[in-house]
Formats: sequence, C-alpha cells, structure tokens
Amino acid sequence: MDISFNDLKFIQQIGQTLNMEERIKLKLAILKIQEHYTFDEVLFWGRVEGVEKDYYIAMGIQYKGQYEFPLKKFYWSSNNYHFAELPKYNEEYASRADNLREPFTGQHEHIVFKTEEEINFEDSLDIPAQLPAKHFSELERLSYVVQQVEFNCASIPVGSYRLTPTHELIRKAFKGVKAELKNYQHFRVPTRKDKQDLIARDEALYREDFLDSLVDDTPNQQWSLQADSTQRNITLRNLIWPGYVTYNNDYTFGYAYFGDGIKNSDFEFLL
Amino acid sequence: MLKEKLQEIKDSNTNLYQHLNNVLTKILLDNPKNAFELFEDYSFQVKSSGFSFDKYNEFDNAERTKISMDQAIQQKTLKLVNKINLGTDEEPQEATQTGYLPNLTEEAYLYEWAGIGIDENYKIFKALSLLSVTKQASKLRFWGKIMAREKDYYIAEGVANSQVEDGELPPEVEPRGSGVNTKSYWACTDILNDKDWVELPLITPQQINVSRQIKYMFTGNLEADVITNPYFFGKEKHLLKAQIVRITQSTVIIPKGQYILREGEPREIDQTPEYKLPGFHELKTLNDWMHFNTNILNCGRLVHLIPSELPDGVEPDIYQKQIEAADPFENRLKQLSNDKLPNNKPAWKIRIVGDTTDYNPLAKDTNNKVNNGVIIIKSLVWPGLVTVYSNKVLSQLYYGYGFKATTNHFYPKQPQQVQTEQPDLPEQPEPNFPAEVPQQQQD
Repeated sequence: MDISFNDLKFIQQIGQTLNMEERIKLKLAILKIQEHYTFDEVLFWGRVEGVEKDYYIAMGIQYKGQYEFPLKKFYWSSNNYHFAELPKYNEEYASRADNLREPFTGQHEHIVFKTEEEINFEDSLDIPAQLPAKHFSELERLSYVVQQVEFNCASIPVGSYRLTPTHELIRKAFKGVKAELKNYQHFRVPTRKDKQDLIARDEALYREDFLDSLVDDTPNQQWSLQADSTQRNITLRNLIWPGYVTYNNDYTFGYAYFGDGIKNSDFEFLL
Repeated sequence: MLKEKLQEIKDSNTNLYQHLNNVLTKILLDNPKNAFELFEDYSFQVKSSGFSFDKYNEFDNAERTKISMDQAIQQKTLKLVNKINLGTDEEPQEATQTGYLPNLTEEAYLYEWAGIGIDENYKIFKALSLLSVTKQASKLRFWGKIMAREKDYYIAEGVANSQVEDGELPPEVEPRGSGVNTKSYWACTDILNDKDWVELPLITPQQINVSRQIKYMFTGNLEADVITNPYFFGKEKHLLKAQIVRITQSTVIIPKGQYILREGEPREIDQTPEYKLPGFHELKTLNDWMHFNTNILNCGRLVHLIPSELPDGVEPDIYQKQIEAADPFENRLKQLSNDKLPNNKPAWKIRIVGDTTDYNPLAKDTNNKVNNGVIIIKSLVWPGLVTVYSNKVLSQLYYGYGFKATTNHFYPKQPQQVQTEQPDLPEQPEPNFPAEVPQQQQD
C-alpha cells in the first residue's frame, strides 16, 4: 500500500485502519529505509497485531534490472517505528509455525518454541564459550508469516503491470477491472506451468494475465470478492489468512495485510 | 495511390494497409524499447489476436465497465444521506419519531485511534436512523460487522417495538425481552436498501449449545442452510443470532463501580446512584473494568428453567438448588483482570493511545479537566471485539468473522457410525416338489 495512505478506506471495509500517529510515524520511518537501499518503490505492507505491541512491515520493490520478477525485500518494526530488515527464518521449524494459534506477543525475542539444534564445532582449535541453543523466536515466526502471506495471497488486478520485452515488470496506467476472480493474479514469480510457458514463449509481453491466476488456487472458496455500497471500491479478501486484502477501484490498486498473523488452518471445515 | 495498392493485398479478414495500421498503433501504444527487434513478433501477435486500431478504445482493457456509477446506486445513496423521507418525492413526509442513536460518525473517530476503521460510517448511521423509524426500534446502536464469504452483515442492536407478536413458544425458549432474547438484532447486507434490514429470530437453548460446538463461516445469505455435525436446527440467521448473543453476553464491559449488586438478590444489578464516569486515569488498567452481562449457562439460557410440573416429593427450592449446583452461575460484575485464557494468559488486552497529556489538571471543576487519551480494550477470546473510552464517551463494536479464538484445530465431530446392514441369509433354492401325481382313484 502506498505510503500516502489514501487507500486506507479499502482496509476499513474489513474494519482496520491506521490512526493518525501511526500514519505520520510510518511515513517517516518508511522513507528512511530509502536512505540505506534505494528501491524503486517502498510500500507499507501491513500490520501484525500482538498482545502488547504491534509489528509494522514495509516492503521495498526493485523493478529495474530484475529479470522475470522484481525483487522484494521486507522490513519490520515494532512500535518504535524503526525499520530493520526482516531476517530469514529457520526452515526446518517453519512448518510448525504454520499451525500456531497463539497471538503474537509483540516481544520479538519471545521464544515461540524451543528447538533442539546442536551446534557442532568440528575441528575448531579454540573452543568457544557455550553458545545457547537457538530457539525459534517470534521474529522468525513473523518472518515466516510474512513470507507465507506474500506467497499465498499477494495479488494484483489484471492489467496493472506489464512485462517488458527485457522481462522487467513495469506499472501500467491502471483503469480498473470488473469484479471477477479471474481478473486477479498473484504478485509472485509464476509457479504454475501454464504461465511459465507463456513467459518462456515470450507471449507474456502481449497479455495482461501473465502471472498465476487466482482462479487456480485451491481451495477456490478462500477468496471473497466484495465491494462497498458504491460498488466501485472492490476488495478481495483471503479467508485462510483473514486480514489480507487486495483492493482496487477505477484509479488505484494495492494490497495490504492487517491482521493477527494467525492462519485460519481449519478453513476447509468451515464451509 | 499507395493506399489502394496496399489495400489490394489482402487476406480473409483484413488487408495489408489495415494490418500495417494495426501493427504501428500497437507499437506506439506499448512503446517497447527494442521495437525494431520485436517488429516481426508484433506483426505475428496482431495477426493472431486480431487487434484492430479503430476498434481499440483506450478504456476497454480487461473488460472494464465505464467509470460511472450505476444510476440506481446513485439515487439510493442520495436518498439515504438526505433527511429521512417516508413518503415519495412529490409528497415528502418527515420522520417524527426516531429513537436514540449514538452518533456513529463521532465514535468512528475514536475507533480510528484503536486501529478500527468503519467504512462509510455516515451511510451506516443514516441507515440505522432509517431502521429506527421504520421498525420503531429504540435504543439502537451499531453492533458491528460480521464478515462473510459473499457479503458482509451489518448488525444493529436495539429493543424492538413491543407490539411484535411471536406466537406460541416452547417452554425452554426464553421469550422476547428476557434471557438471551433480551435485545433484538437486525442484520443487513446492503445498507442502501432500507428494506434489507431483517430482524434476527428468537433462538432456543439448543441452538446456542450447538453453536458452541461448531465453527462455521457465514455465507452472507440469511436463509442458507447450515450443514454441520452436530446438526444445527436452523438457518444461517439463527446461527448468526446465536453467535451475536454469545459475543455480547461475554464481552460487554463497563467501568468498575458504575453498577452495583442489588442487596438480597446478588444476580441483579442496579445503577450506582450519583455515579460519574471517571476520568482517564482511573480506567487505565484491567482492574478498573467489569463485565456487565451475565454469562450464558451450560444449558443455553441465562436463567435456569424450572419446569412447571416437578416430580413428586421434590420441593421447588431444593430442585432449584440442585440444578444450580449442576450448572452454576458465574458471579456478576466480574473484574476483567480475572479473566484468563486456557493457557492462563489474560483474556483481554488494554492499550492507551493518543494524546495523553492532562489539560487543565488543576482546575477545580472536574469538567474542565481534559485528557484526550483513548483507552482501547480488545478481547482475546472473541477477536474483533473492541471497547473504546475517551473523554466520557464509551462505545463498543465488533468487526470479525464471528469466531471464538481457539487453541486447537477445529475438527468437526464425526457423525455417528451407521450400523452395517445384516448380511442377507443365504438364499436357498425353492423346494421344488415334483408335480403332484394324482393318486389313483381307488374304487
């Protein structure tokens, strides 16, 4: 979402928003990210609510010079509004994090669960001081949740980006789409074969829907497409990650996550 | 001359002149950096996709409809935001009786501090006032929004017009105005349509108990069947009401001391006489708040049901004590700090945001002391329930899917095993006696 925060009215459809203090401080903090690493675009990705404090996530996107798909880098901050890069999470334990139901506490060092990792020092001449076992911290859980939501949910309307002949993505002048699920696609490197073939054959340059379509997501009912009473402000929500919203109207589009970071993993049983 | 020449070289659909026009238009529109290398590609693409420059309309991308709002929506919105007019345009009839309705637009400002955004709050407010007039409902307020798969529900809470007839009710159902059916709720999916507000029906204790065991995502259609195991006797509107009642009964909170227990009847509460809403500093911790409503008992009602015909030899008082011991009440006016989640963590989270400077702290008249801080209390048991308090304004709202927070995964109960059929007895061939031989007649 754009840091001018004009698009908050879409997020209000699911009952979330940023208050005045958050908007001012986030704008300043996100602009500060540009001082260290120049991105083409720096956007506000979302807010993960915790019991004591909340986490704010920002995303930097680099389009130029990236073949096939732009580079995305994530930054996080607590309510001190000081962004730092979101670290990688430990892959082995990440799948356990998928099923956690407890809310985030807000303390990023909080241990989510203890891991049994052995730290082997083979053939080291000097024996270092006893290192504590590295447990799965809340910051890693946050990192995992952000990556999952971005991979599974991040989506944009068709016709918003184009693939240039040098396989870079550029933004087009967006004119709105009709409110149908087939008019939305994932904002990620295409994983499905039909789209990968399309790009390999270079046909993607001429088509608007060259990224993975949402219609092929399983289960298909996880997407809920609704509009407000004017029928022109459309939000596309995800029901497995409640809080995720892709929005568009005739002038603008974007997406954001405003939620508690808990996956609704019993979604299939709720229908 | 050249134009005609080019037009002569043709194919079934188009001619060379047209095709060159189309290719050049597409290249101009797309403006690729390496158009020279891609020229043949473009030509091929234009041929296969049938792009035609004169039919190209800049606004036709992605099957988009024109930037205009449906006429009907325009008219409905205007009618909604204007003064309430119960008649037609030619003969306006003003609404004279509107019950009390809290100013949602002002409260939305407080909720924004809590991070809760109420979209189109002015339209919701007008829709509620229209509801109050048409259904003669009093004490109306915006309860919240329950999100669903196709359309969201806007829920209003109030007290319905007392002239509504319900007909015969089974004895265990608490009648309108008492128990779980004390307040009435209206649900609507389209705020522009004032006829869309549907009053949610009275619910039975059985429905409450089943709703405790299932987890269901609403679809947005009040008449949809709810297919779950254990079987829910009712449609989506019954389940919606059950969830709303469960949420309300366990999460309405008030500042400590606003109500006191009635002497002699510890289950009833009265307003504390001469009570003034405390200022900001007295309400900053969970200790300063308490529950307002009673909890729903295990049997699904607020008050135990004493059957009119007791078995012989059982005194009513003793019977009452017995069932109360089996299904005990919880204390009224419990403090929030005692509420705990199953993992022993607090069940509420309290935050303070906004400008917390005390203005005019030394003023003698407490009305001049101002603190614009906003106290936000969110429930962790029913995520989505928010209470805000600032400068003597107390308000509460729910925005969510209607789920209770669970620590375990939800697995629907398995249906009971259907007994297998008894195997058929092995078939025997029919006894096939030889045809009767007529006995020789004996003379």
